Amino acid sequence: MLNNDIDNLTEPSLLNWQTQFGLSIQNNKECTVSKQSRFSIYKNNVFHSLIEALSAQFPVCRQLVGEDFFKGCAQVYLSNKLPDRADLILIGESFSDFLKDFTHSKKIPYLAQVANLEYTRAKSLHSEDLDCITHEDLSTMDITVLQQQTLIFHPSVFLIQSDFNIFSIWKGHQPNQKMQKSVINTKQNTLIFRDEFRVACIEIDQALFTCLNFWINGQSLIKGIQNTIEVFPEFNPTQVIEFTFSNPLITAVK
Amino acid sequence: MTTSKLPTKSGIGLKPQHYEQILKQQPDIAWFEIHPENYFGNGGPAHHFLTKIAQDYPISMHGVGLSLGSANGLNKTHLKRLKKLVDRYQPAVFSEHLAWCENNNQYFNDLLPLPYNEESLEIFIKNVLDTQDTLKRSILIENPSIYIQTPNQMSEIEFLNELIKKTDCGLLLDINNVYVSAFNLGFNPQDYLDHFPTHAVQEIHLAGHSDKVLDKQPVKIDDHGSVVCNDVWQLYEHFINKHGAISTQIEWDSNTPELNIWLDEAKKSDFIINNTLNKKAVLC
Repeated sequence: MLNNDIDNLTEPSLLNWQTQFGLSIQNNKECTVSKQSRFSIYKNNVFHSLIEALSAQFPVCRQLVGEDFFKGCAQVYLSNKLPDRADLILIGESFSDFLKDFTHSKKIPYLAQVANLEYTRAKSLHSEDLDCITHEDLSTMDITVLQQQTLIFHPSVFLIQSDFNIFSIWKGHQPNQKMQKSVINTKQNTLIFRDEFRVACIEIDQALFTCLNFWINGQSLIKGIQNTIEVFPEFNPTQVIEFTFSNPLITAVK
Repeated sequence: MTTSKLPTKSGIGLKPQHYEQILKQQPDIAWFEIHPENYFGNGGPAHHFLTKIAQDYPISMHGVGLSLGSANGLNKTHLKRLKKLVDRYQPAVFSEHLAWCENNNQYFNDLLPLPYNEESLEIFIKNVLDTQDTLKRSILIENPSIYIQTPNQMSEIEFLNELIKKTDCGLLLDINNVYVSAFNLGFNPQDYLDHFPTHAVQEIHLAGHSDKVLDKQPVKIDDHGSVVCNDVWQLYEHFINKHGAISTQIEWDSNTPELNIWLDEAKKSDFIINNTLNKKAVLC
């Protein structure tokens, strides 16, 4: 049965053999451990499956550049760096950075930021399950104590500030949606969090972004509000507290 | 070490697109198999649905990323994540592959072939023992689909026999893999099955494959993307008739069909299993 030693008469160590095998898959070079044409099946399997995984992780990026361009990008990205972990649920951690510097995608300057939004959504989806403080819980708390406390955000909560209107771009490429605005070189703020089993993606104004950012970075409830009002005098703290505790954003106060 | 057993019936894979339908309809299937790597996240819908489904059905975990054949040892982070998942869900069975997929911290996402020799055997044995020690249970090892001849000093069967002897692991016999490898490498699949260490087999896999032509030569690709072919059903029926009923999973990892189509495919293996069990009952 499988006894034909047809390729390697020198019998290198297993580590060396696997390293050569791996390099031959990753680089588009002739395989040094096997001259058999069927070696290409392994190479195809590796790249096809990983490109499919990237494609599933970055569906809007794929739509923006088209199937062929996306596959080409993904092939170059993977040839430079294969995943370092076997679970593919968070594949593409550095894909956004890659797109930022990739010569052929520089014509689409917002692409890397859309990739960042899509990857952040994946992180949010798979983050830890923790109960959140509800509006009802809030009503039982001593407000004088609460305002001096810091808010602990749910691990699914992320804030993204982008140079382009990437939230609009992302939303416009969801099923049954159309782009409401054209791509513009203007800042947009996105709040991402998990609500039950779906990831919510919401555009928020600069004042809310600023306040949430102060809180995420450890400022007390009252300090975060005061510092936001300094920058945005029209800021309405009641509305922000209402919004924050109406959504599953806060797991604890301390 | 103890290993709980799966029901001696057919199971199918568990896919996210079927979660809600399974919970709603409670289909008549004996068990589900998952790839643990898809549940390595800390939380979210995958864990929510698996927790619910595991309350109603036994679960088998079939790893695809542990890379037991890696010369540079096991990935400790991967093993730690696996341990956490096994402890949490207590699957009836945990299985992995006679293959490797990681080298120098790079993951290839394919089950790559091993040369079968003393060195690779020693490495594989150590990695299986370390896994069993960490998971506190004996594991099953699946025979691979192979496309190229590797520089072997022993046969796959000899390799598996030594592995069982040294680690006390069980085996997962993938009959489609036998059929695919036999076609691609030119050996007789029935001959392979006749020599397989059947006493260690605790689970069987069946799956579809595709036919391609490469350099004007036909080749079979193990893509788990279609129904099980007639030749594989015949090999399976012959094996079950000869050795008795064994828990069987119908794999379907690409072009995943609607749940009912998959369940229908599992009914075919259940029919063969039940026939064997009925014959045994009559003889008793």
